[in-house]
Parts: sequence; C-alpha cells; structure tokens
Amino acid sequence: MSKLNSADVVIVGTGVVGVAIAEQLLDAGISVLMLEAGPRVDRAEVVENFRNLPLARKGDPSSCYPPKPWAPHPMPSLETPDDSYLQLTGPDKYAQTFIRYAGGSTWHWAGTSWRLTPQDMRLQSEFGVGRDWAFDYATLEPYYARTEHLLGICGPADPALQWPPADMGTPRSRPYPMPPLPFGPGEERFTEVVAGLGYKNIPTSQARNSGMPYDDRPACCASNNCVPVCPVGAKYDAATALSRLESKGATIAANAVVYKVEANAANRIEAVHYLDPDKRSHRIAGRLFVLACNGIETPKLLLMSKNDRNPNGLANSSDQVGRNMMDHPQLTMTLTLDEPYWAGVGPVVNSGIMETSQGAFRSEHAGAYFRFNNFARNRFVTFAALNKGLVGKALDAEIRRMTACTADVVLAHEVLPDPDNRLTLSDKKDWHGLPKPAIHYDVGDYTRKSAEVYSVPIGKRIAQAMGATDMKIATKFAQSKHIMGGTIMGLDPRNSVVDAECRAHDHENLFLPGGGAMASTACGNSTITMVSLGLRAADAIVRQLRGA
Amino acid sequence: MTPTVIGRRRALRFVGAAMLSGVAGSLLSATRTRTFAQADGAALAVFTQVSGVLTGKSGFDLALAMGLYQALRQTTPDFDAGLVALKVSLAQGAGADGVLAFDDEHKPQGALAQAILQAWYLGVAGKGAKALCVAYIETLSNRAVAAELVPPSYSYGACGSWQARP
Amino acid sequence: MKTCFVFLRALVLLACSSAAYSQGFDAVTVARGQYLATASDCIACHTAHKGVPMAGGLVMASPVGDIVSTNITPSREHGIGNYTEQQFSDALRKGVRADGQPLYPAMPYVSYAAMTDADVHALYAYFMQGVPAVDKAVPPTELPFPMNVRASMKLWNALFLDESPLKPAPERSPQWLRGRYLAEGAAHCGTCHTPRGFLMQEKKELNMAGAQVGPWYAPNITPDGATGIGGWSEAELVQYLRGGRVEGKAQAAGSMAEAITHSFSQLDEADLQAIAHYVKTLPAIEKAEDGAGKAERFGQGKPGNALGELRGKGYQEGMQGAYLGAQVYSANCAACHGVNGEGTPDGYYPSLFHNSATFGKTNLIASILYGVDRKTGDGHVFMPPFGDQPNAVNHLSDDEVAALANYVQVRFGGGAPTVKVEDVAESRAGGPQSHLLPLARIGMGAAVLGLIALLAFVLLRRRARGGRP
Repeated sequence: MSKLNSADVVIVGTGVVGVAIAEQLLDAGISVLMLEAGPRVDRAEVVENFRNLPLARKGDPSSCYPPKPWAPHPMPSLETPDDSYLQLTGPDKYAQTFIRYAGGSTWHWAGTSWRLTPQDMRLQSEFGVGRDWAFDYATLEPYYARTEHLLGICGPADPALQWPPADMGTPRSRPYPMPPLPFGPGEERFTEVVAGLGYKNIPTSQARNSGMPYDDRPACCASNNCVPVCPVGAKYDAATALSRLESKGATIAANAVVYKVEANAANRIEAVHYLDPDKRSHRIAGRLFVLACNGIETPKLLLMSKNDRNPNGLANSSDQVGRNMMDHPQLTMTLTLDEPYWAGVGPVVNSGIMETSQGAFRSEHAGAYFRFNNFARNRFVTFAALNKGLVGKALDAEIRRMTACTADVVLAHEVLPDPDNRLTLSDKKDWHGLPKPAIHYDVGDYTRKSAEVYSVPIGKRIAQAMGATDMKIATKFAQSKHIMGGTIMGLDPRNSVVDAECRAHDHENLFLPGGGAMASTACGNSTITMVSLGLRAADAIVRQLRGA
Repeated sequence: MTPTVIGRRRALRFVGAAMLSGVAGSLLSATRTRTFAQADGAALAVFTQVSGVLTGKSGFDLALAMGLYQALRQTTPDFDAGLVALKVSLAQGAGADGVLAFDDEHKPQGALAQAILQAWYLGVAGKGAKALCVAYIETLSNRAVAAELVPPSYSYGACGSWQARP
Repeated sequence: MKTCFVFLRALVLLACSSAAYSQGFDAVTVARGQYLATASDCIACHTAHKGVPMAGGLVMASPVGDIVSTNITPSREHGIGNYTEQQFSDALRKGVRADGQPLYPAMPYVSYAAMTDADVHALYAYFMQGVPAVDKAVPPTELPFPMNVRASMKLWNALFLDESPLKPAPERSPQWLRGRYLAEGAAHCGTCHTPRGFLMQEKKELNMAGAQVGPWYAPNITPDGATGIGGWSEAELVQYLRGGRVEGKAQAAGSMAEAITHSFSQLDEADLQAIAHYVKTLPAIEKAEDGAGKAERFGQGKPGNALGELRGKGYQEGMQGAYLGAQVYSANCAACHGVNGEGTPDGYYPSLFHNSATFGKTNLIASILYGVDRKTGDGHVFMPPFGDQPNAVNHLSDDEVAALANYVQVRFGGGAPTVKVEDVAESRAGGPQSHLLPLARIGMGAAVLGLIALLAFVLLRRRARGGRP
C-alpha cells in the first residue's frame, strides 16, 4: 500500500476508465494512488435507496445516488434553476448526469458495449465531415478484446449477429467470453417485426454475466434494474473492482476533491491538490498522472488548473480543452400496440438495430441506432391509468393492458464535434467554492437533418410494422449521458488535446483517457471504447515508466 | 432483533385492529416528525372499506393498510373526515362501472379517491418533494402484473429463464 | 552459443525425465486410477485456488494452524516423481512420507487405509503416468510448536490408525460392501462428518454424526429422523451427490460443494447408489448441531418479511435501528432470495425456509460470509460472499452478519435467534481453533518446569550429601 501522499501513478477518478488503468498498472508492479471526489457507498445502500424512492423518482437514475455536498453531480429531479450544478445554454440542453461516487457512472449504466466500426473512425476521410481518429480500427481491435474479457462482456458467436458486421473486414481476434443473453418476449416480437422491414435486431454486446458467474460475480437473474443499480453485481460496474484493486495494493482515497493539477517550470506535472470535507488542502505527488474524472469533470479540472505558463488551462495550447462536447442525442418513441409485448423481462437493454448507423448518407446527415427499451412498463403507465379515473378491476385491467402493450423505442444519433459546443467555467460556485461547469450545446444541423429525413421516418415505419395504435415521438433531443469530446484526440497538437495514447500533447506525464478523447461518437454507447482507450493508455504508461 | 418486537409484529397480524395502537409509532419514520394519536380501529375500518370499493379487492394486509393510512393522514389534510364523505359518495354509486365520476361539487372527494388509489397502486402518499414511499413490492401496480414481471431489483430466476414467459 | 548449450541441456533433461515417467502402465489401469483419484477427491486439496491440478499449494486452515498441500504431480524435484509404489502406498495408507516422516492427518490416510492393493496400484499408475508433472515448489507446512514435531504423529498413529479399518462382513450385499468401501475409504466421508476428540482423532462411536470443518458444519448424515437424514430416500441422496441439491431439503456449499464438483458428480451411478445405500444403513445417532433449533431440520420456517418497518425510511436509519437484521436482509439478500425468503419460482435461488442451511447457525453464518460456489452437470450455482473477499458484494461487519443471521433464523429457520457476534468473528477467522495447541504448550511447559524442579531437587540433595565426609 502506498503512503497517502505519493505513488508512481496518481489517478484522479475511480470510474470505469480509472479502475481499468489502475489494475493494469498494479499488475505491472507500479504503485497506484486513486483520488475520488465522492464517497465510497455500499451496493446495499444504493439498492435500498432505490426501493425507498417514491415511484415518480424511481425513473431518474441519479435519484438513488444523493451527492455529497463537496462532490455535487446533476440531480435532475431535485434541482431548481438556482442550485443546479450544470449551467446550460444553447438551443439544446447538454443535460448530462453522472455520479460522483467511488465507482463512477457505471453504477447506473445499462452495460451496453457497442464497438465502433472502421468507418466510424474515419468520418473525415470517408464522408468529409467531422474528424478522423489518430489510429485505425485494427489498432483498437485488440483493446476491444481485452476490454471484453476484463469487464465480462457477453455477445454472439455467430458473425451474422455481431457488431461490427463481418463484411466490414474486421475479424474478432477473440470470441466473447460469454454467450449472449436471451431475448425476452417483447424483444423476440420486435426482432420478427423489423426483420420484415429488412432490419436485423441483434443482441446487445453488454457487460453482464450471461449464464455463468464471471469475474467472481454472479450471473444475471433479470432483476430488470440495471439502471439504476444491479443489486447483485451481475452487471459490471467499476465499484465491483475497488476491493480487488485494494487487495492488489492500490490506495483509494474517497471524498478527496481534486481542484488543481500542478505543473512545474518545465511543464511536467508534479502533483495534484485536493480538498477534504473539512476544506483542508492536501498535495499528492507522483511520477505520472491520469485524469479520468468523466468528460465534464476532466476538462473542468484542466481549466481550473491554469497558471502563468498555461493561461488557458493545462494541456490547452490548442484551445480545445472543453470544446467539441458530444453525446448521443436521442429521441424516444412511445408506442401503444394492439398485441402484448411485455417489455420488462430480462435486462433493460438487450438488443438493437445498429446497421442504420452506417451508410454513404453520412456525408449529409447523422446515422441512428434503434433500440427496444426493455424497462418494465408498469411504473410508467400506472399514473396514466389512474388519471383516467378508473377503479377496481377496470383499473387493474388497464394497468395490465398498458404494461403489456406499450413500448419505448429509442432513436440514438451521432453528433459531430463542434468547437462551439463548449465547456467553460461559470461564475457560479459549488460548496467548495469551485466553479460550476457551464456548457453551451447545439446538436447541429447534421443531426437535426437525420431526424427529419432519416431516423424519424424509419421510426414511423417500425411503429407501423409493430401495429402501433398510437405513437408519440419526442420533439426535442434528450441526452444519452454519453459524455465525449472535451479533451479530443488528434495527431496535430494545434487542434487536439491528447495524442494517440491519450497523453496530453502539452505534458508528457499527463494522460486524459476516456470519453473526452473520442474523436467521433458514432451511435453506440461509448463505454467500451473509453475503456479500450484506457487500456491503450495503460500500456503506454507502463512502457513510459519502465523506459524512464 | 429482540423477541419482544417479533411478538408485537406477530400480534399485529393475528389480533387485528385492536392491537394496532401499540405498533403505530414504529411504522413511522424519523422524518415524519409529527406524532399521532393512537390509530382508531374504526377509522382504519372505514379506510379499508373505502379502499376495497376503489380497488375492487378485499383481504388487505393489515400492516400495509396501516402504513398507507398513516401516510395518507400525514399528507392529506382532514383525511378522516374526507374518508367518511367519500364512503358516502361511493355508496351512492360514484365508482360504478369501474370509472370514478365526481361532479364539481364533489371534486375534493374525487381528489381524495385518487390519493387513496395512488397510495395502494404506487405505494406513495403525497406529491413532489414531500411524497412518502410506504410500499414497493406490495403495490397493486406490481401485483397486477406479478404473473409476468418481477418488481425491478428482485430476481426473476436463473439466467435465461425469462425467455419462456409470458 | 552459450544459450544454445543451455537449451540443448534442457532438452536432454526433458527427454530423460519424460522417458522415466512412462513406466509402462497400461491405459486401462491408468484410467481406473483416474477414476479412483476422482472418488478420493485428491484434486480438491492438492490444487491451489485457480492453480494447476495436483500441484499443491492450497493453504487449509486447521484447528492447529495452516496446512499447505503438497505437489503430488510426478515432478522429480518438487513432486512425487521419485516415489516407488511402496512409498506411494505407505503415504496413502499409513501416512508416512518417502523420507520416513509422518504426514498430518489432514491427509485422510486413516480412511484411505481401507483401499485395496489393486486400487493403490491403479492410483500409482495414474499419478505417475496420467498427471502432467509440474516442476514448481510449494512452501512447506509449518505448524506452530509443538505441532511441527512430526515424530509425535507416530504415537498418534499407534493410537488411532487402524491399518485394516473395514472388518469382513460376508452377510452384506455386494452393493453395501462397495458403498462402505467408497464411503469409509476413498470418499472419506468420516474425515468431515465424524466428530473428533481432543487429540483430533475421529470418534468412531459417533461415526458420521456431524462435525465442524473450518467455518462449516458437516451435518449428521446418519439415518436419525430428527437430527440426521432419516427423512431422505436413497434416491434423494444420490440426487444430492450428483447435483449438490435436493429442493426443500439441502444444498451443498463449502467443502461439500467442492467434493460434489470434483468427485461425486463424476462417479458412476452404481457407485453413488452404493454409497447412498450404505449411508442409509449406518447406525442412527441422535446428535444435533450446537445452536440448532428444536424443529425438524428440513421442514422449518415459513415465508414473511419485515418491510413494513423499513420501506420508505432511509437505509442509514434502518441500519441503526432495531430492525438491523431485516434491513441487512432486504438490502443484501432479498434481491435473490426473495422478499419473503421464498427464492425464485424455478428454485434457482433456494427458499430460505424448509432449508437446512438456516436451521443451525454454523452453515448459515458460513454461507453468508463465504458464499456458495458449486459446479455440476446441472450448471454453476454461485452465491457471492459477504465477508472480506475482494469479490464480496458487500463487506458485512460481524454485527451485521449476526443481526442478519438471527433475523433469518427467527423468520425462516428454527424460530429462535442463536447467533452471537463472537460466532461470526470465529467463522471469519476460519472456524474454531483447537485448544490442543495452547494446552500442548502449557503441558510441555509444565513438564519442563517439573523436570527442572526435579533436577534442582536432585542436585541440591547431592550437594547436601556430598558435604559430609
């Protein structure tokens, strides 16, 4: 165990990227100290928090994670305009949520792990829009395989059902460690229906133990509660790794809010400074530093760390820190059907149509991915049934009907990096007196046009094929909570923040892996790519420290 | 967990309303700071009777009924009086044909009926930030679909067993 | 050039060693040896957690200290590659190593003493020829003084080792004889299920009547009605040995789960039936586990919950209050075992009532702290642990486990809470420690003091005498 004031590598953030890197480093014999802004909380407490919530708040995944005063995170159901954490401007609100607890936001993720495709990484070369990644799919592929085995990601062995599809020339170097989870009845029906339209609804590659214990964690038993919390740890979340990291020698300090990264005269990082809940400051030194605090907190910290030599913030000679904020803008289609689908059996997201994210049209507008949401419907529909004034058996029958015969289909889009989609430091202060983040966001015409001419028309065809008697579709994009772009990767230090190994161009011993480094979003959830970038960074860190 | 407490808990189940007064206090959380007069067996009986008409069910779990009743009393002003009035309205046929119909004069009773239904179906009394969660698994909304779905955060069965149903 | 030479030398050595291993045993004998090794469950002790089979290194907590299993692969340097068949037989049936030193009876040689010469030969063939050699040393067992004086085992063996433990029984059926041969011999059931005396010897008069094994309790498997398995049919016993579970009765965890995974589940049906038949003819002994309730071991308890006291209040409040056990249950256990302890409809997660695991206290505490991990042909049953392990779903404290266990006992088990916080601490430490060690030390210390006193007395008297002319 390292002393609590220095280590070879200091990692800020104990989310999925931070813990993945920590484990690689510990296995290589490097000492690791991790600093987490928020508290260490037991799974049991989170589960009971969820069960104790009034029903309306059960739908907001952050509600069972009340933040500590010193580590605020957005709480959409409770915030008022005066006390909200994110200061949002622009035509589309970048209303992200994330959890500042040890274990980070994977506490409440759905586990969805879609790989990028080769074209997703070459938007500029292929379609003349956006940016190319600093390396190709073939370089990333072995890291995807490592991530799948590290987190326990299950998926199909049949290439016809895999993503990316076999015809993209992207053979998998290793099979999935576990077979896919079976579809529930609603998903089976959805699969049949969209097949009639020529679409394949394929099993979601997901970080969930399928049919067997994996990583000494139990198999999925369909609690249908992945979001907001898996009660048994069958879904991978970073909190499951914390005890194991400590058994390997990591020091994990909770309730330590890092507020400054200290660079020396040679622009090497020497230390980080954090505040404890008594508002005392502490300095932690190290040889090398990793900021893995999520796509909002990492750029915020870099901006807060400005000094004379780096007046725009650390790692920011490119002026790209905090810019290019991206996400997967989504529209939810709520359907009433005349046959029972019974969503709610099995994990909450278990399948999707991904092929619609690819195509030549991407020179004109964004792609989209369609997923049949498998959350149990009764908690959404009971309000509506009550509002109809029904009582007695009629009320029960209506609840049953609506639970079985309504469904949500989500249309998730890609977005292009726009430097004006930007995170800056607002003049509002949090409990520690640190600036709250301000984010200006506009999903852009590239995405809006997709909704207009592509995704929504497809959605309507799907609704029709499902026999929907009623269809409501959101008119404004909501956020998927996949925070990307704020520390973007590129080969040219003049227009990017990190290099191909997520090392800051400006500071040789500072790494910024995670969603912030992603140069494009594609349509699928970003976590597997974030962790793969983290593993690549870990390899580079090990080489760098051994070579030194 | 002392045997005395268990004994009280068992008594609650078997002895009925007469014993409720001793246990009433223990069903309230510390955040509900008001203390209540001892639960009146008669008032609870009105509550369960009205609930029976509204939900179309009988044989309620006494502990659950007690918890909901206490929560509703805390979040609804003049709950007991409103209950009596609602009982009268329902006896006059306001809830026939499975639809609640109240004219403008009886709107408060309509609201009360909604509150009671919300309590039974969603396990919640009150609204917004002041809402109190009293029950989760036993809510009638979960009960209505229990043959096909488990309430989230409880397991369905062995991995893959959900493929067969419903 | 130098590396080339080293490489060649290694190749030559490899060729020599592998030539020596193939001593010409035929495949049938080796296969029979493998089956017997499965029945004897050598792999369970002689393989480290996630280690190479038979290469040793598993640290086992015993009441007198930690014992490390040895490498029994045919490695010449670190295993038993140099053992003759006689030496192998002596180790197996007399508890004597090739260097003449006795083994500790953690190795169940008192049971294996029942094995026939032909079976020992087959086992030897398997271990010499059928097991890949692993050239890796394991740390030696170092028990605290005076247990590390192995010579004392010679006296122990003289007292307690019966070199022909199975007496002739010509009136018995071949199936019974086979069952006895396996149960008392290779499968060494008594090693766990027979209580031990002060000197750690099996108490033959209480054969299979239940005993503590580390943090677990190996229950009474005599046919007694209330405290044993009198209510089980032979078919149920076979089902249990094959799959580790009989619904409404019991499921295997701890060492028994391992034994089922590695041994019983792979035996022939006829052998399992023989074992079941034999076990059901054992003399019935009425002996309940300490802390077990009065009710019938398999039929007690009923569903129910305490949510009314908890729901809607905060978790922290629930953890401070009088309903700690109920709160811990709801937060940690109910997701799988059901709000009312009923398990899942398909029985994958067992109900906690009508379940012998909640009947006593030892296995209840151990299940909570250590979980269940059991792989059979039916699949992989896995309950995560709640102790200090890196993969614990939640690290429960001794107070929390005690409150939880008492809640489960009252609601789903025998009906009365019998778990103390010290019981949990003891289980977490690996089970009860024997008094043998400190008493042996005290005894030795007293003997030494006594000797010194005697010597001093003799010397003083001599001096006094020598003073006279």
